[in-house]
Amino acid sequence: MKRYLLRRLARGLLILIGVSICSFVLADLARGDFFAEARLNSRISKETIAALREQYGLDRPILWRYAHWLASVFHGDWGFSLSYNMPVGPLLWARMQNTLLLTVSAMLLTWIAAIPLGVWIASTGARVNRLLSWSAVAMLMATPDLLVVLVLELIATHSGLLPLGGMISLEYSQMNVWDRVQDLARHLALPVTALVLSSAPAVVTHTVSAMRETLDSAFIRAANANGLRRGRLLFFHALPAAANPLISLFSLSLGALLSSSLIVESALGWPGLGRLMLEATLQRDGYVVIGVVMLSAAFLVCGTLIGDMLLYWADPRIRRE
Amino acid sequence: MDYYVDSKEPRSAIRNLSFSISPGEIVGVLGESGSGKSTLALALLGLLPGNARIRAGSVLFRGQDLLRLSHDDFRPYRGAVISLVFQEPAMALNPVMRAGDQISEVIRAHRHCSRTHRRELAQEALRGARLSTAPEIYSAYPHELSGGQQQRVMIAQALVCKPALLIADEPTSALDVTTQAEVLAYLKDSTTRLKAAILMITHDPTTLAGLADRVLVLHEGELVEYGSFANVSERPAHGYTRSVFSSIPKPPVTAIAHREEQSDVLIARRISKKYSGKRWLGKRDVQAVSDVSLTLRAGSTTGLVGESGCGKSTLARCLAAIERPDAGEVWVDGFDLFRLPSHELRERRRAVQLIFQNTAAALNPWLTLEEIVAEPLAISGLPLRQRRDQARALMEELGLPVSRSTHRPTELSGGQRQRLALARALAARPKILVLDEALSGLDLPVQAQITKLLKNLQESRALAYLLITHDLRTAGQISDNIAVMQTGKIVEYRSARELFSEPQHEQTRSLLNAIRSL
Amino acid sequence: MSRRLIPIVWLALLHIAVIGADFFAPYDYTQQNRSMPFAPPTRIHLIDPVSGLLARPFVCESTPVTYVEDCSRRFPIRFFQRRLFGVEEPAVIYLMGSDDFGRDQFSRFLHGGRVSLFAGLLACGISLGIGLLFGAAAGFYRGRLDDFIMGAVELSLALPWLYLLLAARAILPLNTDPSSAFLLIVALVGIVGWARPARLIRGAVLSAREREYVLVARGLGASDAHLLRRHLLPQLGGLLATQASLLIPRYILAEVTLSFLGLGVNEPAASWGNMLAILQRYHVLASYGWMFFPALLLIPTFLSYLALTTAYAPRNQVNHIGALPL
Repeated sequence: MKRYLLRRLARGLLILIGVSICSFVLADLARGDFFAEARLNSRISKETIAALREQYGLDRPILWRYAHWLASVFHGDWGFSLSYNMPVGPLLWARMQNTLLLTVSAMLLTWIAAIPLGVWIASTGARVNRLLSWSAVAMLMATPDLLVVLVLELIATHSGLLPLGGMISLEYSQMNVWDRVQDLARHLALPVTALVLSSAPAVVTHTVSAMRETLDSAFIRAANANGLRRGRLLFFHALPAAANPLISLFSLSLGALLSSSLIVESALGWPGLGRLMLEATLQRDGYVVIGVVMLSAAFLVCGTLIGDMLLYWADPRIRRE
Repeated sequence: MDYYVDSKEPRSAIRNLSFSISPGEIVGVLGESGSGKSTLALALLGLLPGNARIRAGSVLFRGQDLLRLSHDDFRPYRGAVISLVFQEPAMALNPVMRAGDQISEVIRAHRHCSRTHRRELAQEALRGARLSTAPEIYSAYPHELSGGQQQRVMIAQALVCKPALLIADEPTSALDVTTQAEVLAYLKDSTTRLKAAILMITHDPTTLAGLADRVLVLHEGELVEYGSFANVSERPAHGYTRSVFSSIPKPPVTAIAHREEQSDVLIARRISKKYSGKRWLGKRDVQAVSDVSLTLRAGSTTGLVGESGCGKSTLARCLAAIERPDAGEVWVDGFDLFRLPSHELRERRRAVQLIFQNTAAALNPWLTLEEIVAEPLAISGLPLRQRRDQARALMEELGLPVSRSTHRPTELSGGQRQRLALARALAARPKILVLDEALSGLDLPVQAQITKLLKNLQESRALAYLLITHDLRTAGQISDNIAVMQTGKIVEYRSARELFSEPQHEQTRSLLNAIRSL
Repeated sequence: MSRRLIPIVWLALLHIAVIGADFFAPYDYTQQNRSMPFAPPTRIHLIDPVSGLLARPFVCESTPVTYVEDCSRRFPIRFFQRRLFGVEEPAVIYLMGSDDFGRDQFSRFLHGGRVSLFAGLLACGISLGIGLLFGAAAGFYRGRLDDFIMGAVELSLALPWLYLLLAARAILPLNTDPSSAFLLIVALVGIVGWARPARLIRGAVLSAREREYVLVARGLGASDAHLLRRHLLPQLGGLLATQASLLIPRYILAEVTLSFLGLGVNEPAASWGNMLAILQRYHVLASYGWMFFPALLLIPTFLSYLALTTAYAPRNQVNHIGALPL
């Protein structure tokens, strides 16, 4: 088991290095850098731009820049952001926390609600219930997250109950702890709802299909023939056997913790990583772009790793390999 | 207890079936696949699928009609009063739960005990199943157990709450003969110990011998015979019963006429092959086949007998050039198969054809019957019309319905599928047929028919057969020579008659004992 | 049977309408009408107010700004005059209302559909094509080729694709012409998404390869080409169809998202994404509900594709209403 883990870890590291190289090459192909737009401004002279470029090392060859960047990663700097005028590392760290606050809450809510719902849909005998809930799930699944966000915004605007954007109110720093929590919660409501509504249908569908397949299998029929009670049968016999695809989905969700909230963040003004990425792309702030990509990739790799470990623990058939 | 069940919708699965069974009695239910046996089992437990309906009848147990009970009311009976043991133990056990826990779960559903007490009861049940290493079995997962162990765990599970009736649906079909004997002994033992009645469903009457007191014979949903086992087996009244009992393979009694020395068509020398651990817990490399040498002659049949896991299938694959052995040579027609360049190998290997046990998996369900049989001809480049004609001729020769040649294999029965596979093999004009458990899984009368067909084909085409099986009786029926295999090595290799009359190796002896006790 | 046809019919109609946008749309997609910005959808009258009977469909004039109907003059809808339908000036027939430049949303919707829908289709074709090539090769030949391809798959799957698209989109200057932007998006989205289908295809080929009938075919001396052609590739049909119905909506959404964020197809070309971008302004969001139409029409489209995924799935999956008496 330990060897397996180490092998996967090493593989993950290799992948991350591969990703960093890919992103660097891609960013380099960009026909402009941070100062490209500035060139159009006639008030700034060419010499100034050249000097700025030299100051930030943008005119050096790519290998030098890569090595330099790699070194700065170890320092915790991760390069330098030209639009924010600060090292990228701390910037990423702050924004990452905001994003995680959002996505982790959404993920917890999603999974806690979706799995029992899925189990219920898969096992219920009443056709009406099944059809209704199935249609609701399908509708949600077909609705693009973009639309979900916009509709939620609309509802919020009309009802006036929830704040329409941002993470904290202006008076945040003057509030006491309890009020702060409340304020944060009120700001979280909309984006979290949007994320949950977008991601829950996929979990429900996967649960339903995995459960249906399992419920059809011989060992469930046998357990039923031995007189086991329904509840225990569903959650302690069928669900564990059906867990395989769900664990894969879970690890994918874990991996997407940093990248799934892009639309929600930009539409609702949540100061997270996604929003940062968008701005950096528009402004060609190279190191920020690379930093965000690397961080997301790292999460993806970790997510897969955790998924593999969970699979190993949950499914004894895998252990014999 | 009384059972009286009647028909189901829409195609009657069972019609007008009545019988009774008393405590401590063993009643066998004999029938082919599709005769309604499994439906009977499910009906007795109230587990018929939604589209089945019972039109009339009752199932009386201690005065209570079980068919009138609702699904939930029936639950306390299931597993505790009436238990069912399913067919394939590998599929009927939960793969992610330990074996012992699965037994505890049954206890938990019916009795109020503490966790430790349940564990003890489960362990005791395992010991009663004569599973020698009971504590290890308790914590093992199903895929870590052998077929026989899995079956015994399932039976222990069904017996742990001491039911009054145990229904066993084909409990030994998936096992090899030695394990079969053990499992049947366990079942018999339970009747005496627990006073349980057993309803044993099977297609193989030899498993009922010495076990069943009475037997029901089901044919196409109707009860055609019902009486004591002795009566029915010696004086079968109905045509179907007669065909079943006459199909039981008998060991060779008379000497097989001495054939002229025929040419060697396949010589295998010192074949060895290793696998990295698939089945066994902990072991990494398994030496599936070590140092095996065999010779096959035209027109003669060699039987290869051994228990499951002894390496027979691996050897078969090496001989058919589907797997490459780690060491050794396979000479066919004077050519060493594995030293040939790939295009020549493709030509030469057609001389050896493999017939599989799993008939459904051996046929591509998307192709028509004609296309399947014609495949070897297509590979050698014959034009369409000739392919079709030859394919149809072969189908006719093997007794397949040519009128349905544009249909799909899913419409065929097990026996017909095997004939189709044979037709395909013959289209390649082979010299050798390797039959890997090709007869197991077929009903006895069908087995007899296919055996006869094989004999005819052998005579008309001077084919060499390698018949691989775990059942010495099947091998004894048509083999000239028999090789006994154990853990990858051939331990005895003699003419069939000598093997049966004077077995030398202990493995051979134990195989013979197993079939004698059935 | 008829229930299965509904998604196919919807998709067919949609695609036909979009391909024939020049004919089906009453206006050119760049045609502006600055006097009527944010006009609500035009009401079509079917009943003659005087006689109370069914009359030829007509529209009334609307005054700008307040958009109150003035039915003193009636403008009948004319059909098949170079376009499917239209009305004479100064009346307008804005079926989905108009945007801030007074452009007919319905016409832009149809033209935008060309971009969004076909971006999905083409990108899907690219992904599946690459995925099939590499996945089948990996599954069939195994060994080192398999390891190499699977390594590439893992690398590809570790990349956060949305972010990568953003980053890659930045390669081009932000104001390229729409057709190169379109092609670039299609290429990027398609290439980035090769990994998951490749893995699935590899798995399918790997398991099919070991089936007994394939082994028999080998024993009959079949060449690799024969095995692939006759036994392995035909089986992939269902898998490919399912993957396509999953990927196409995803890719359509990718294009819509990119254009929404301003990184896809830009003005003046229409795309469902950039038509929705205007909803980012609060007053539009709150007051002009008809601007939601392009997004709303995505729902039945995605539902149709969703229905198609289950149509090709093997029998024992999602649609099996288990008759298990639990």
